[in-house]
Amino acid sequence: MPAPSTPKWALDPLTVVDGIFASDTARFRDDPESLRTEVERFFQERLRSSTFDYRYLVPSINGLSKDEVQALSPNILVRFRCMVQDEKQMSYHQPMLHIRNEVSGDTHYVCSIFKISVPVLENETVVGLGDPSSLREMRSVSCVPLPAEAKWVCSLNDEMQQKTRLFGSLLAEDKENAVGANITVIANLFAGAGSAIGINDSIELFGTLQKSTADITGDVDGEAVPARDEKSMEIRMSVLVYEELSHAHPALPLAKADLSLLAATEQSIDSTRKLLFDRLLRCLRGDELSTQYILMYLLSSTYSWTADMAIGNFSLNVIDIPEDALFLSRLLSQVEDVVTQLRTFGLTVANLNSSRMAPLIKERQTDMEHDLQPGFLQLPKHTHLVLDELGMTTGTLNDAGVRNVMALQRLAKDQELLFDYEFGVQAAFRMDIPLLVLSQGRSLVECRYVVPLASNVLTGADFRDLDTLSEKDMWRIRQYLVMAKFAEYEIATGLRQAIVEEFVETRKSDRSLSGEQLHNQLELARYLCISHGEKTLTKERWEEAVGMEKTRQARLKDLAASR
Amino acid sequence: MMANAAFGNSRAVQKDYKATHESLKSFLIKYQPKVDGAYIYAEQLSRVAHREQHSLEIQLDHLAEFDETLCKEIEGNTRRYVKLFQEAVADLLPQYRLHDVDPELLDNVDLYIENRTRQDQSRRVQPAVVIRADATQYPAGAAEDKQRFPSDLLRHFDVHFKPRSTEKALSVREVKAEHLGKLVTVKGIVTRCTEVKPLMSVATYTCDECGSDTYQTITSPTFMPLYACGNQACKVNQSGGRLYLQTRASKFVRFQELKIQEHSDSVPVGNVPRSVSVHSMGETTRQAVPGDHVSVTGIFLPIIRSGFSQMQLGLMSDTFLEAHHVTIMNKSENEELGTQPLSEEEIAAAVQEGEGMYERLAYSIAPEIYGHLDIKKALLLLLVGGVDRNPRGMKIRGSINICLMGDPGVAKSQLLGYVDRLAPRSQYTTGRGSSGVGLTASVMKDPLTGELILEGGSLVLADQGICCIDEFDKMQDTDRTAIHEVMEQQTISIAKAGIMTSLNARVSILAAANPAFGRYNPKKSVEANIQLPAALLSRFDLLWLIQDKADRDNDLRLAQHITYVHMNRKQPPRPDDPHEPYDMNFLRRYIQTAKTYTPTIPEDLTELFTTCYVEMRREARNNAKHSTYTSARSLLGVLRMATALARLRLREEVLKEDVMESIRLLEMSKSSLVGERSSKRPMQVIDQVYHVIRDMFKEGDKRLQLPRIYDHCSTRGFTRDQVQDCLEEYQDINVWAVTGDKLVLA
Repeated sequence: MPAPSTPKWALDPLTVVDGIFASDTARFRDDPESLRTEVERFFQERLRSSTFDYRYLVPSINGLSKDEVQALSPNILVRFRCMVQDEKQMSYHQPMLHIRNEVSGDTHYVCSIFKISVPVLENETVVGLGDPSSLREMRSVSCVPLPAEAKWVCSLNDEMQQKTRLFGSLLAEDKENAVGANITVIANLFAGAGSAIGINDSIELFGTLQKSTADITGDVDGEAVPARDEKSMEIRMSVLVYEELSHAHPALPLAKADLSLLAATEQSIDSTRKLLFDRLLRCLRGDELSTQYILMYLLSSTYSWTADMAIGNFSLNVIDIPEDALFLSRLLSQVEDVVTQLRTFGLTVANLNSSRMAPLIKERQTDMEHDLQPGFLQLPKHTHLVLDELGMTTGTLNDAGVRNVMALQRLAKDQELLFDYEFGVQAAFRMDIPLLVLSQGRSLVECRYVVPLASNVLTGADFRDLDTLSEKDMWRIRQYLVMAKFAEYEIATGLRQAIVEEFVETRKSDRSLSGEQLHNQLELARYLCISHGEKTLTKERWEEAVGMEKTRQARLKDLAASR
Repeated sequence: MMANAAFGNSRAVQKDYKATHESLKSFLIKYQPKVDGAYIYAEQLSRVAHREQHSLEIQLDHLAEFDETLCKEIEGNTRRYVKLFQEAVADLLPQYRLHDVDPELLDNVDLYIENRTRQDQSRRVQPAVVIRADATQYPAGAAEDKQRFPSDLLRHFDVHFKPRSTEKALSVREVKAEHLGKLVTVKGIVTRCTEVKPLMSVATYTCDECGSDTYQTITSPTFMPLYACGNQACKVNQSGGRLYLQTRASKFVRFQELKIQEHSDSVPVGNVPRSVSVHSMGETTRQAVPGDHVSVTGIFLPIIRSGFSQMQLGLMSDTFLEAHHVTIMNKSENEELGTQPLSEEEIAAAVQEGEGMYERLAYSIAPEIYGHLDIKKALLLLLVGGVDRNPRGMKIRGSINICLMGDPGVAKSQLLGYVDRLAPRSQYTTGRGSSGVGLTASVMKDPLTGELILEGGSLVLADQGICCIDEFDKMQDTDRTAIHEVMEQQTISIAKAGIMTSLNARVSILAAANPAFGRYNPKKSVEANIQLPAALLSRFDLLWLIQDKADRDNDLRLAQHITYVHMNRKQPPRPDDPHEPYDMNFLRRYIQTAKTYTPTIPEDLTELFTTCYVEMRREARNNAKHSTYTSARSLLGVLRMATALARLRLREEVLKEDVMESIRLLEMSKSSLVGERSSKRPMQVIDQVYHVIRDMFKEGDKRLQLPRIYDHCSTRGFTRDQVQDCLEEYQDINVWAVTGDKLVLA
C-alpha cells in the first residue's frame, strides 16, 4: 500500500475553517464557540478512524529546532506532542469581523478565529473593532516537548511519522542533528477552548504556526525587519484541535474504552506478567519479594486524592542495594525498556545543592509577563522517577538542597509539588510520578514502602544471563504496563467487611498495626490484582498482600537487629 | 470605544446626555448623606477649585442613594460617566472658587495659559488649533477659553469612583469578557510595579512660522506627533510651518503600571495564579508596593492595538484595569483573607443553635481525626481565648495554654498542625527545632553594620496568636526558663549584650509532649512522665493525656474509612454525623467574631467559683499521689475557659453552664491523666453517676433537688444526659423515684 500523502485539509486548514464559517454565517457570526466546536469536530473526524490513525499524516514539529520550525510555512497544519508547562496572561481576541466597504456601503462578516491578523482592503473599515461584546477570551499556554520520554517511545514515534513520508515534501532532510532540540511553543486556544487543560498535562496540539508580529511589519512596510526581540522569537501556534494524551505510548489508542477492547483480546496477562517478572528477578539477584514490589511500582499511578492521602501512590525505597555499578545500570535499563517515561536522578549532596526540583515563577522586569524557571520534578503524569542514593556522602546541604529534599519528600508522601512564586506564594500541584529510591540504608526521602534487598540468592552466571526479548514480547510488556494504569478494580462489600473486622481484631492485641499499614496493604493488594489482570479483590490476593507486607516488616526488623 | 458607541449621533442620546449632565450637577451640589447631613461634595468641590485637592472621589454608595439607576449605569459604562462627571465638575468649579488660588499651587501649564491669554488680549493673533482625539482639527473660537484650550489641559482634577461597600471583590480569574468596560473590584497581591513616570495627556505644539499653538489630546499609550501646522494662516500662506513640541506647556500625569496576582486560595487545582495589569494615574499612583495585598477598583478595558497598517489588522488585545480606587489590606487581614466577620443572620442562627453549635464547632476541628471531642473542645477554647483582665494594674492573661501528652502516634502533631493552619496568626515549631534565635528572642550582630539587633523567636513572632510547640519535653534549658515568664506574664525580658528590654509575647501555647520513657505510665506522676518541672506544668490550663486505647469503635471507623477510600476513591461521607463539619473558613470567621465579645462574670456566680475552688482543693488533698496541682491558677484557668465559652456562644455574659462546662473539661483532663486506672475495675458511666449521687445522699436526708444533682455531677465531668440515664435506670429498679424536681429515695 502506498504511503498516504498529506491531505488537503492538513495543507490548508484555515481555508477549511473559512468554509465551515461560510456554510452557516448567520449562526456562527454571533456564536464563535459553536464555530470552534464545529471545527474541532471536523478535524477530530479526519484525524482518527477506527481503522487508521491519521494523526501521522500531520507533520510533527517535535524534534525540530527553532529555526527549522520558523522556516515552516505558517499555513499548514502541524502537530506537537507536549506537556503544558506554564500559563500566560489571559488575553482577548476578536473571532469575527464586521467589515464595511466605505465606497459601496456594503457590509460583510469575516471569520478571524485562529488568526492573529486579517488583511483589510484600503477602502474597508471594521465596524465595532474591539467592542467588548465581540471579544472572546483567548487562553495561552506554553508547552514543551514531553520530558523524559523513553528512547523506544521516541523511535516509535519517528517510525510512524516516517511511514507517511511527510518530511521529504515539507521539510528539509536534516533529521540527524535535530534530535534533542528543545523548543517552547506558546499555544493559543480560542473562544473558550482548552478550559480543561491544566498545568503538567500531556497533550497533542494540532494547529497552524503563527507568523510573529515583527515579521508582519517587515513585510508590509518593505523595510528591514526590525531587530527581533525575544518575544517575537517565540514559536506561537493557533490550536485548532487538541487531544489529551492519557498515556504516552504512541501506538496505543488513547480512549479508555479502546484500551479495554485491546485488553479483551489479550488473553495472556499472566504470561506477560511472568515474562516481566523473570527479567526483573534476574536483575535483582533472584529476590522475589523486592521483584514483586518493583513490579508494583512499575504498574502504579496515583489516581485520586482525599483530604489526607494520595491513593495509588506507591513510593518505594529498596535498601541494601549492592555497590555495583553493573547491578544498577542493568536494573535501570530494564526499567527504561518497558516504561514510557523515565527520569533518573543521582541523589548526592552536590546534585541536590545545584539543581532545582520545584519550578520557580519570577516576574519579568521588562513587561507584565512572568518567567518560569523549570524544575526537575515538573513532569507529566506516569513519569517514573528513580532516585539513586548510592552516591550520597556526608556533606552540607545549602538552602536550595534542603528545599529540594523537602520537595522530594512531599512528592513521596503526598504526590504534590509546590510551585514557588515570588512573595511567598506557593501553589500545590498534584502529580503522578511513581517514585523509586535505591539506597544502601533507609533513604533521606521517606517512602511508603521500604524493602531490603535479600542478597546473593542467584549465582553470578544467572544474573548476567539476560538475553534480549523478541519484539513481540517487548511489545506485550509495554502494552501491559500502559493498560494496567487504566485497569478497573473493586473490593467486594463482603471482603471489605472481613478486612475491617480483621483489622479491628488485630488491633485488640497488637497496637503496632496502624491505619497507615492497612492503607499500605490495601494499596499493595490492588496492584497485585491488577498485575494479574483481575478486576476484583479476592481473599487469596488479600492474604498474599498481607503476607508480603509481613515478610517485608520481618526483613526490616532483622536488618535493624543485625546492625 | 464603548463611550464612542454610546455617544452616537441620534438626537435622543444627545438629549439624554444633557439630562444626565444636569442630574450629575445636582448630585454634586445637593447631595447630603442621611447620617450627618453635610454637603460632602460641595466642600470637596471648593477644595478642588482652590487646587488643594486633585482628585474628587465619588462614592457609589452615595450615588446609589441619590439615584439607583444612575449608579447602575455608571458601573456598566464607567468611562463615559467619568467624562460626564469631569464636565459637570468643570461647569461647577467657578461657583465654588471663593478666592484666588494660592500662587504656590500653580504649575507650568497655568503660567503658560495665563501668558497666552494675556498675549491674545494684547495682540489679536490667529486662533489656535485644537486637535481632538478623533484627529479632526478645527480652529477654536478665541472668544471662549474653554474652546481655546482643550478641556483636558485646563482640568486640574481627576474623578474617581469608590465602589459600593457591598461590592464583592473578585479574584482575577473571575474577571471575564462580560466585565469589559465595567467597573470591577479585583483583589490580589501586587507582584510588580513600575516606577511612576510622567504620561503625556495633552501635547502642546508651537508653529515656527505663525507662532500659533496646536494642542493634541492623547488617550492611547502611543501617539503620532504632529508636524505640519494646521492653522488657517499657515494654510492660506502655504508657508508650511513646522510644529514643535513644547514640553513645558504640555500636560503630564503621573502614571504607574501594577500587576496583581490572584491569591493562591482562589486558584483551582492544576492551574497557575492569574494576573492582571493595572494602570494607575494621578492620585492613584504610589498606593501599593510589591508584596501588598490590595483590592483595586477600576474599569476593565481592552488595549486596542491600532494596527501596523490598514492592511493588517491585529485581533488580539490584552486587557488592563484602569484604577479608580486602591485599598491596601493589612497583613493580618490578608492572612485570614476572605474572612469577614459573621453577618447578623449568621450570628442569630448560631445563638439559636446554642449547645449544638458548640458541639459542631468542636467537631469541625481536624475532622479527619476521629473522636477526642473533649480535646477538640479545649482546642476551640484556646483558639477563641479568654478575656484579658487588668484589675488594679495586675495583669491576668486571657490566653489559654494547653499541653497535649501522649504515646507516640496518637495524632498529637496532626492536632497541632491543624490549629496552626487554622489560626490566623500562629507559629509552629518544635522544642528542639528552632536553633539560633530559638523560641524566645536573641541578640544578634548585624553582619553589615555591626550593630546589635534584637531578633524575635517563635514566641515573639506569634504575639497575639498561637504558638504550637511540638516536642515540648525536648526543649532547650534556656528556652524553658524563658517560657515560664511568657506563659504567665506574657512578656519576654531580654538583658543581653547591653540590650535590656521586654518584648510582648501575648501568646496561647499549645504544646505537645512525648512521655519520657516511650509510653505514658499512669502509675507515675505527670512530672515523672514527661520530666518537666511542676512550676511549668502548672502554667498550663489544661494538661491532656491522649492514650492510644484499644477502642473498638475507633478502630472500626478507621478501618472503614480507609477501605472506603480504596473502594470509592474519594473521601467518605459522614453518615454518622448529625452535621457536616464546618470548613476552615467558617471556623476562622466564627472565631474572629467570637473574639470581639468581652464577656463579664456576673456577681452571683462568684459563689459558684468559690465552692468549686474549695471542692477542687479538697479533692487534690485526697488524691495526693496524682498531684494535679490545684492552685489559684486552676481557678483562674476555669475563669478563662468560662469567658472563652461565653465568647464562643456569642454572649456578653458568662452563664452558669459556661462555668460548669469549663469545670467539666478540667475534670476530664484530670481524669485522662489518671489514665487506665479505671480498667482495674471497669465501671459503667451510669454506675459512676450512681455513686456520686449516693454520696450526696449521705450528706443530707432522703430528698435531693434535681438541679443540685445536675450541677454536682457536671463538676465531676458527667453530662446531663448521662445523669438522666442514671436516674431513669435506677428508677426502673426502684432505688429512687423522681417526683417533680426532686429525687426521693425508695
